[in-house]
Amino acid sequence: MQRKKIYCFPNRFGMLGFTLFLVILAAAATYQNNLVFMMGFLCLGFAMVAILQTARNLRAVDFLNIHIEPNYSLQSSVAEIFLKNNSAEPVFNIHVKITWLGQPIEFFISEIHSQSMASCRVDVPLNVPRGLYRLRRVNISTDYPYGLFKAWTYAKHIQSYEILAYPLPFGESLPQMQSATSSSDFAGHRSYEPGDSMNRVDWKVYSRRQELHVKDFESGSESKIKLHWNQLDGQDLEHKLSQMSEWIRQAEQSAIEYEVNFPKITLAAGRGEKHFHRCMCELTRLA
Amino acid sequence: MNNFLFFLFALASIPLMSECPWWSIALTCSVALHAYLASQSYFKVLSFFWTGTISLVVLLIVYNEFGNIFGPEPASAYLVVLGALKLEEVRNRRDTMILLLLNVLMVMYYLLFNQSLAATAYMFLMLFLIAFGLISAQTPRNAWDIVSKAAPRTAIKDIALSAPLFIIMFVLFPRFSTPWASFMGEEKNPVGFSDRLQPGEMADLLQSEEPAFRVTFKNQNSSSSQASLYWRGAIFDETVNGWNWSSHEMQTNINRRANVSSKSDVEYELTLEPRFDKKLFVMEHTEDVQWLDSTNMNPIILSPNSTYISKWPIGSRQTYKARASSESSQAFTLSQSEQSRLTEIKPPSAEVAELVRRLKFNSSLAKDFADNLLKYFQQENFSYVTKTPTMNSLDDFLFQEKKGFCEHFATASAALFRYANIPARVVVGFRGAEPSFFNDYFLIRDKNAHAWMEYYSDEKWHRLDPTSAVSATWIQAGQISDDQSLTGGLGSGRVRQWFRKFSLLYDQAEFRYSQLLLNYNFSAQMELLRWDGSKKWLRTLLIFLTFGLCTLIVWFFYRWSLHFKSQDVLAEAMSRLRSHLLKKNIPIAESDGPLRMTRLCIEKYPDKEKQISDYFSHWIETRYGRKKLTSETLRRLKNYPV
Repeated sequence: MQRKKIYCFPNRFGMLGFTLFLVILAAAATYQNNLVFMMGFLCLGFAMVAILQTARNLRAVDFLNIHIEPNYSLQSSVAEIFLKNNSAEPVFNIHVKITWLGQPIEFFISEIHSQSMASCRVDVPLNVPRGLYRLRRVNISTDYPYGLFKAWTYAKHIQSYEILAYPLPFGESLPQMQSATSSSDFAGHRSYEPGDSMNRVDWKVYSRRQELHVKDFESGSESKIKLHWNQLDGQDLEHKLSQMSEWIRQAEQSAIEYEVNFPKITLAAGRGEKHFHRCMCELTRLA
Repeated sequence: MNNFLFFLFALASIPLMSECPWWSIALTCSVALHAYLASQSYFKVLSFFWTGTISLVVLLIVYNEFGNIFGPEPASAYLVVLGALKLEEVRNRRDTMILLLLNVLMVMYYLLFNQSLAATAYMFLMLFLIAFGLISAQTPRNAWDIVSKAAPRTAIKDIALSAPLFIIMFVLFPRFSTPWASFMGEEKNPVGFSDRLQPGEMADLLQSEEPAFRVTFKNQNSSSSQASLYWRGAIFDETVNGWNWSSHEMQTNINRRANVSSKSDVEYELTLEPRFDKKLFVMEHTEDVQWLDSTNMNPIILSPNSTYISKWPIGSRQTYKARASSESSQAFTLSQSEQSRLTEIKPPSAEVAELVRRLKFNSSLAKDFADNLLKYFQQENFSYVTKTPTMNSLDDFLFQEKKGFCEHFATASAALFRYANIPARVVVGFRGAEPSFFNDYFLIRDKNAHAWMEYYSDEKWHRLDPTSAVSATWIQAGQISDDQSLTGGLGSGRVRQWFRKFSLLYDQAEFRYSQLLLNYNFSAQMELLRWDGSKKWLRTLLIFLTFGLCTLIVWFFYRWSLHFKSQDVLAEAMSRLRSHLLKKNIPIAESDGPLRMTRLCIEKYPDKEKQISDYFSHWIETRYGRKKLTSETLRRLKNYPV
């Protein structure tokens, strides 16, 4: 990722320092005291160097990535940023501020070791209607080492970061599950596979063996269901989206394979976190 | 961090407290002590109500005592208390930053009182500590171990890097005066001689090594003998009892036409130390006194006594030039009333009258009277001492104690002359001079303060130094004698000698520093930028271009130094390691990795097998493993095992 220019401006302490500089200058001129003049000009020169040092603290920092976990709208999510320090010296006090939909989200990393990466996670409320959102701006700033100036820059190409707020799940249960007779005969354990519902993990086995195993049940009903968009005729769009979101959620939690038919695309039967997010993504982008 | 803040506050406030009233010092120390104990959890910190109340009360007291809150003295008194109160409420970074900036203000106010080489060094030290404090305040606690070693270097480096801009600004910034300068004038008590002369008052001055002024002579023949250097300051010509003297108020500006200078005239420049006094010290028969800085608006007034004073107190180091002739070229006729005034004294005691009669024996000449007086002092074994018992009258000195210092002798002599109906007066000033370390100027210290007298005869004033009769060594050398009562004693002669040399060298450095930098004013600035010729614009342009070029060079150099090393530091380190091993005659090929290098090194140095294995294991973990690359890791990789 390429970085734009670094800007620098005094913060409140810098402004206080500037006021102090004016006082020093006034005192020196009033009393014609060359030593006080010296002190004032030394402070001025030092301030110029402080600007460069503050910018230097930021110069070696690269903004790598930002990841906001998609979640249902009106829920909270987690945002994580990744920064890298390319210099041979550690950098300190890096602030990152992102703004989207007028809401500022701030991250603070106190130290990034030399030639290392650092990340920071922050809870982010998704108080937005469902939909696809993009980041407007990422502001990276610091005031280290002297705390008198704030240097900041903006990360480029951040519009490609999308944040999905899924439709809030709400509605009836899965249609197939309403009439299905399910058998809950325990059929044994199998090793955990990514995508398996955590509800099916047998924690007693884990406490004994320190290995994740899920319970398998024999079921008399079908092991996969089909979810059709057309089943939701008669409802308005938001209700349809919420209902479909609820079905997908229930299907995923039940650890059964589900196929989703959207108006323009059909997602083949599957299950697991990846399939779930793909379905929700298509659902969010609908309409 | 808290302990550092207390230490910094102490360094900033203690020098300033020497200029503060006693109540301010007491309050500051109390509050600072309370703050320190509170930080150690012995007490609770003062609430905002109490700190605010104390601040307000102190402000009112300062205003009541000084009449304003902005001058150096009132602001210092208020600032030190404010700083101590701020120590009470240091809880977060904001408070730390404010306290650090407050320290800057305290240092500035101290520099208003003290301009010297030592004050300059103090300024640099404090700025360094404050810069270090700023870095400390920003550094996260868990990273302090790493930063603490680099922070002092960073602070020093950054102060040094600010030098070019500082130099340019200092040289080029116009030295203008501010409209409110007249309201902020200092009204301090003058240091040195008072306006009344009572024998015994100069005792403290005679013990002081503080410099009074420095003199540079322009002609070769003028620096011949510092023993002959009398520096006239004030004249005391009014007395009632012959023991206590005062000055007659006649400070009118007399425009005496300066005589044409001759080869035997002495031209000199005198640099006064700031004493908040109006007296100017000149050699005898001095004419044509002018400030060296032509923009100095403080008028010099010449009195009929041939003494010079300035209209306003001199609060900073000032230099004036003057010309003195070898003897008075003008006859000076005293009017009858003036003669009466200068012989006016209350009738003497019987003993004094008898003494005067003896001294006038067979001669009415004033010179004979003077010689007889000196003989009297010698024959009666008068002695010169700096510590005397209290004497309240002339009779005590002349007939009982028979010891004293220059004040006693001068006043007694002048009184005796007046009793003999010869106009006489007491002169107070300095006597003698000490050559500087490089013999380019003379230093006159407070302990060179001296009093002598003058008597009027043959239409001239004649100097008479009665102290010469009793302390020939001191007078003839014109310098510090070995008399312990004068020097106070410094131990063995060699130690004193070394101390004296060091003292002179320091004074030399201080004086030159003062001339070059501290006295750099509007005139000096114009002189630097002016060209005495037709192409003055060219020189000005050249100077600006030179400064501009220097600035650019420094700027580019700094930008280059900011370029951080983003290449693979480990690859660089590996390359250096290969070069090192090749120098040790270990056949390392370019393609050899750490494992092969380990084997080759162990083959060559089998006794260091463990160190070699540990080193390359560390290397492999750093490069390929999970070990983070830190400055500590890099340092370890530089400690080669062979």
